Order: sequence, then structure tokens, then C-alpha cells
Amino acid sequence: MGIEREVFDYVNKSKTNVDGMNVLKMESVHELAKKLNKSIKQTELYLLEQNILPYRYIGTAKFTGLQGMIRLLKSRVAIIGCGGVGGFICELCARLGVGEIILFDGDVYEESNINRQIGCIEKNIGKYKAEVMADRIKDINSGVEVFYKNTYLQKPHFTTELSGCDVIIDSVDNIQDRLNISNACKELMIPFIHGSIGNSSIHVGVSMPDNNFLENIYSYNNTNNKLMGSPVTTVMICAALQVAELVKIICEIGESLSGYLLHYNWLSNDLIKIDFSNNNDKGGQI
Amino acid sequence: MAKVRYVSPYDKITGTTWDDIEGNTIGEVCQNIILKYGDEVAFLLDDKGDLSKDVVILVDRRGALTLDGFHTAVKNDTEVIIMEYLGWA
Repeated sequence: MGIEREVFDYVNKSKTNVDGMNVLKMESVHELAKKLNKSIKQTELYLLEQNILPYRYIGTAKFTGLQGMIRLLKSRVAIIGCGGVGGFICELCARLGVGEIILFDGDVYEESNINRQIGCIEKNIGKYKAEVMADRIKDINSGVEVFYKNTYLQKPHFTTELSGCDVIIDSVDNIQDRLNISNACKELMIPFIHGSIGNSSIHVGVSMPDNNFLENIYSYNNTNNKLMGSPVTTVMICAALQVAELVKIICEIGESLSGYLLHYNWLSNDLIKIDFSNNNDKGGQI
Repeated sequence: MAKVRYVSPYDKITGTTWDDIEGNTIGEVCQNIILKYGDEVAFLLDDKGDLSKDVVILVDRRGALTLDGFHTAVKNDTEVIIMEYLGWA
């Protein structure tokens, strides 16, 4: 029996119907990957292109549709900074099924990170954040290809390290790096999803190649001199909002925050969207 | 006269979201905000009397520090937005 026939028979025998969708459970996906001599990701894409959903994605695919799921699995996303916000972004991207994740962080965990950084558990203190999060991503979803560097992404290497990415996600902790990365993203024509936090406030926005919203707001002179709190609630909300933008951009659904800055304060429940796409526009939402 | 928007949590300090404040430069506007609301908004200016680098002050949607800083011109109906500078992740 030829391999194609064997695969066809195996898929037909193994698939089940859940809520009208043909699904294949993880054990069968792994078995199929061996038969096809393909990676888990390649096998999942092979199934999706035949309208068969890897069961692990059913909760996401019911929202994005199979085409959205294919887009996510084919996407390549860089996460710069793997600490508080970046750690939760890693977690969400792995669970979404972002197909290729690239991590950069030169820092190691310390005790004061336990309050908010998902990779920071007592036994991980002293370990590199990027490496810990890479292992966690693989543990969550073996369909995701993950690459990491235990170094800070430096200016001369932006183009080589980031080219080919569909989206870059900002989880760095200073404005100078944000502005440098944002400029590199513009040169590379890659959307840059900005996020930053302090106390109970969150800022999220999307810098696209055709807008300068970060550069219009921030100066290289802005500092981090004012020490602010970083409770885990703020960190998680920021990560969730940034990954929501990722889903919208990759799946081409909804309304992106391109050119906007979203300010949310969970203590007061204030939510404001500031339009930077047209500096003269003062109407409606600020 | 600038139209000033205080973004949370600063609106809790001033007790208002929108305000009309006199001044020909953003620095003068900030000085007048401090005169009106007192020490709780003194963070707008640093020890030398320049615009603080720890807060975002937008003049018609541009960061004042990306323009002429303290001396950034303010005209009638110029929109000023004052919001937190959030540097962390």
C-alpha cells in the first residue's frame, strides 16, 4: 500500500467529528507526523489544508476559522523581551499556535520577578528567561517551532535577526530600545506591537510602516526614573491586549490599533483610544 | 489658551478630564496647571523647571519632548494631553 493511501486511511480512521468539525487528536497527529516524516507543525498544516482540525486548536479555530488557524500556524513572530509582559506573550502565542516564535532576552530570573513573570518559579532563579520560555513553549505546543537567544537584541543585528518576521512584539523595558526596534521594523516593513505598563496602567498600540506613532509620542530623552509598580494583573492584561493585536493582524480580522494608543487603567476602569494616525484630528475619541 | 486633557490617573488628581489653561508655551501651561492644582501635579516639571521626562505631554498629538520641549508653542485651541509615561514591561 502506498504512503498516500496509508495516510488517507489513517486520517479517515482516526478523525472524529466535534460540533460539525473534523478533528484529529494530538496522539494521532503525532503518529501521522511519523508516517509522513514531517514535523508536527507541517503535519498540522497538512491536516488544516484538508479541513481537518488538530483538536488542540478547536477553541481558537471556532473563533478564527480554519483559514485563520492556517495563517497563525504559518506566521513567524519575534518577541523581544521575555520577562513579565514578554513571558505571558510567549504563553499566549504558544497556545494560539503561532507557528514560529523567536525570543530574545539576555536577562536571568531573580527573586523579585516571581510576582509577575510566568517563567519565574523558585527553581528557575538564575536561569535565562529566553531559554526557560522556549522550553515552556515547546512543552505547551510541540507544533510551534521556537528559537531563542540569551542575549539582548542590539541595533546592528536588527535587520538580520528580524527580517522575515510577520510581526514583532515589544516587551522591552526602556524607550530607547523601543524606538530603535520600531525604526528597524519600519525599514523592514514589519508591524510592531507596542506595549508598556506601570502600576495599574497599560499602553498598547501598533506601529505600522506607514505611521510614526511611537516616534510622535516618545523622545529618546524619556526616562524610567520614576519607579512604578508592576503587579501581575497589569502585566497579563498588557500581554493579552498585545496578542489580541497579533491575532487581528495575522488573521486579518477586526480593527487593529494601527496608529492608535490604547490607554487602560484597571484601577479606575478608564479606557481611552488616542488617534495618532492624523495629528489634526481632535474629534470623537481622543 | 490650551485645551488640556488629563488622562487617568491624573484626572483623579485634578478632579476633571478637560481643562482650559493659559500659556504661550507648553512650559507655561504646565506652570499654570501647577499653580491651579498645587504640589500634586508638580511632577510635570523637573527640579530645573524643565518639562519632566517621566510624564508624556502631547501637544496636538506630538510629544513635547520630540518638539521644542518647554518652549513648544501653544496657540488658542491647541490640544494638550497629559498621560503617564509607562516604561516597564
